[in-house]
Amino acid sequence: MSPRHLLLLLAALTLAPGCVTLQPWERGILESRIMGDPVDPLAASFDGHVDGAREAVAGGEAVATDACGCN
Amino acid sequence: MFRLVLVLLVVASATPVLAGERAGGRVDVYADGDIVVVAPSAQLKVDASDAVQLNVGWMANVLSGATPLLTADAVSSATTFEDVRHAFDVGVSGRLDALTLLRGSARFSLESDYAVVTASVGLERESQNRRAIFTASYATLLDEAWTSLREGTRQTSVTHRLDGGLSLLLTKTTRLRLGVSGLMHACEELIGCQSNTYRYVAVRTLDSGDIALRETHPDRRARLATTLRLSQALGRYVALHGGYRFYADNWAVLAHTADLAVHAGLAGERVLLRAEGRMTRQTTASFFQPSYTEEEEGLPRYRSADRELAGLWSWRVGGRVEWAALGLGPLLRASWNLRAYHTWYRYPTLDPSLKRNAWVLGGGFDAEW
Repeated sequence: MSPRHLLLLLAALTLAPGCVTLQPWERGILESRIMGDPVDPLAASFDGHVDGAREAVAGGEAVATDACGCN
Repeated sequence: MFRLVLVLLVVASATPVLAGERAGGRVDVYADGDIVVVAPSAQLKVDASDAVQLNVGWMANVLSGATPLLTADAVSSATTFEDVRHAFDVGVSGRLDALTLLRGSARFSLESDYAVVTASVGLERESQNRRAIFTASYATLLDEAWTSLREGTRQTSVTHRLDGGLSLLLTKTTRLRLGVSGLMHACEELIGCQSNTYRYVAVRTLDSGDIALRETHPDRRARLATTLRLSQALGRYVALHGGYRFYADNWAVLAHTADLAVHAGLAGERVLLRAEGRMTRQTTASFFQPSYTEEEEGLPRYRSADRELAGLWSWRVGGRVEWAALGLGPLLRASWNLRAYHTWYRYPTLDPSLKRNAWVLGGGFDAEW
């Protein structure tokens, strides 16, 4: 898949939800514990500290907070 | 009628209030044969009003171990060390309107020879149809290091960090998240950008003598990381989480990280099980060498033998279990958890026989009210 196709796919994924209605009562699973990722902020903070010390990589972990439609 | 009541309840729960109050604490232990880190931590979130939430946190890292230390007189020996690092966090979140949240936070981290102050501000905006959340944040970090092992006294560096994120509900069982981070470190030479003030490299001189010279890193480091995460529920009580991160910086380090987790709920989510795996591949920094040999024209301007800057592979597997009790006294939910994971590090460009195997064990509790 070329970078252009990947960008088109991401754009489609980004725009598609705006065209479909998702009612509040359809969001139960999205709000459930099993959809939590990461599960534990304190543990995730420690893991980030470990990875930052053992690898040369940083950033990217601060993805947006979960959109659950509940706030 | 029942459907109408259900809808009203769900809509009422979707009014613009902040997430509930909660407190948590845990202890994690990291061990890899060279070093042991015991890390207790705690966090508290309370509502100051309907629209403002405060949070405070604390984490300590108690380090002990023995590691080969190259010093200026080229003596390499196993040196024991102990250190304690404390990090304190304080943050505030406030609703500007039904869809917009403003966050601010500060962190102060202190150990015997190092201190970091971090300040950040961020904005979170939910779409009108409540299916997307956009986030943007800026943070600045001020590092200060001092050590009696080096000439000079206190050294400082500054890091600017920008993060952007997007979380999308694709379907009633699928969530997609994107994240982009840009970091710019402006480091003084003595600190380097790896936050270690004690590193030297082995150098063979023109007269075949072996000496140790201080590592020198470029004093600027620009880093970019992008993350894509997908969560897919498979039925009511099982979900898959997968992620990929691409990382690049101007030291020529490229990295790909992929992870996959299965999260399952039993007994109405009173028991949660999670199994996960992670893999990272990282290329070598442009100036990295295991050791250096002096040439007629001298030594390279930048030198490092840090394993963290070598080409490496890492694999991780682990699991977590959580038990929860609902309606326990004044608490809406109280839970206890245990986790364990193992990571294998390999350094094919440094020494194919070099291995590092690390364990993390941890446990904690969490309460919501």
